[in-house]
Amino acid sequence: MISRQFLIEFKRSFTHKNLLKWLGIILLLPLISFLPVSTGYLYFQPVDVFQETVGFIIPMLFPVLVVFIYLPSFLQEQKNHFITYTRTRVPLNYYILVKGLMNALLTGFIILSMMFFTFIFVTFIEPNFIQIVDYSPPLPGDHEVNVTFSQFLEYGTWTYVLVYSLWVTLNAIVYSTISFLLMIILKKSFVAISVPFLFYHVFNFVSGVFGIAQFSPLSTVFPFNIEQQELWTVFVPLGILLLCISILYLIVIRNKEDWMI
Amino acid sequence: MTIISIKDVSKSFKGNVLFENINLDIRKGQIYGFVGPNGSGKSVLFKMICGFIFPDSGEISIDGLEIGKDKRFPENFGVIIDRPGYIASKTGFENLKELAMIRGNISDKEVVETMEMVGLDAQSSQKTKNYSLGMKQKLAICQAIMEKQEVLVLDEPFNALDVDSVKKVRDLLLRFKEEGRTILLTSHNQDDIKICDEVYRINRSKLELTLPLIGDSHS
Repeated sequence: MISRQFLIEFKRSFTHKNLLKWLGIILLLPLISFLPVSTGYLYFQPVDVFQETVGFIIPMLFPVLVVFIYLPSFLQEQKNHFITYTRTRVPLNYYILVKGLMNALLTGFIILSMMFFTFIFVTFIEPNFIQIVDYSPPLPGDHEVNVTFSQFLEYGTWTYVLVYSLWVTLNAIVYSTISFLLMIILKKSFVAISVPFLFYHVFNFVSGVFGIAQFSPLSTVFPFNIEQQELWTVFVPLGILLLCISILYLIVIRNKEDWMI
Repeated sequence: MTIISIKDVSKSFKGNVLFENINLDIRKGQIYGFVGPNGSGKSVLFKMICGFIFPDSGEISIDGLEIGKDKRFPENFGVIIDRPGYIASKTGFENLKELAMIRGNISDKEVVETMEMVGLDAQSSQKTKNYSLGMKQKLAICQAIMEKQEVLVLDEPFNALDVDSVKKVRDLLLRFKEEGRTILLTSHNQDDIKICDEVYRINRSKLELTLPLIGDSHS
């Protein structure tokens, strides 16, 4: 029954409106981010352009993007009691579970695609067809800026991009899942959707104030504004978020009677 | 033949005792009415029958299988509870199709036919957010009947409907009864209740059978 419901949900999600929205995130957003960083800077190699591109607008929009991919449709269903009328057709726990999985899957897929498209664009499309970025080999005395995750570059650019993209994807899934669980628990869905955004920006501010910017969400998900840190530092905010997910999940299970009505 | 059996069911909700050891057998092919003042527990009773919430004690069985124990939720029930539910940005047809997809046992044509049956235009591009209350109610009726559900549990099905639509829906329900479908409904309007074979009043946490109104219903 779950697999069937999953297929149905998959079909339901692929509306024209959603497809346009997702294509905008995958294709348009990297291009918009690319334009301001494409000129006026000197780059050694495409991976530097990739880092600048994904480190520009995307980090600011990240907590909004991840809830924008799938959750508005869930919000619509919640808002006008549509879900009540699914309950004589499929068990509610299956329905909600499938929604949660679909949210994670689609959010992950769209964010991963956006990261990969950015890399493919700056590595293959731009140098061959557009050529507006200035590349020059490093001169003696120039030093390459290493950031957290740069340690993976020694295994090749593709490995680096794959590991880094999966890292951003994992964070996107975690942030959107927190919103999803909050939407089940809280009566005010707008608050539920806003919480990851608030956590992301407030924690950035607080970590800056306390001089522990290496643990801020911005510097751990998109570590391009901070010099290379030990890899374990990026797992600190993620660990906190995973703890939040576990607590929220327990609350959802404990308050089953409330949200099931 | 008993299709729904309510045995010694008690239920409190938010500190209020709504039902205390109520018993009722619902027979197939009959129309049952439930009346009572606001907050007396009509919707809670329907939610328990549908398996949306569970009794504090006692049991509710559908075709001999206890809800929440032998059966997770009653299949083949058409339900209107509390208020119509819909996705505001979609048309009426799209809303019904989304629901129909879950079971996947009816075609688009059958969805359209159901809409026409209650007086909704299936081809209309009007989003449900722009529907009137009456149209939303018709949409709720559509989703409850479109899959030829055996049992209809309808909380205030005539709410917000105009006179013609009320008559149309009443006739529909009587037709469903003739087809052998079982109907449970609530209403504050005595005329609506007249189509019922048995009417129960919820009074002081008990179900009291009021006079059957069979004679009036078919006149």
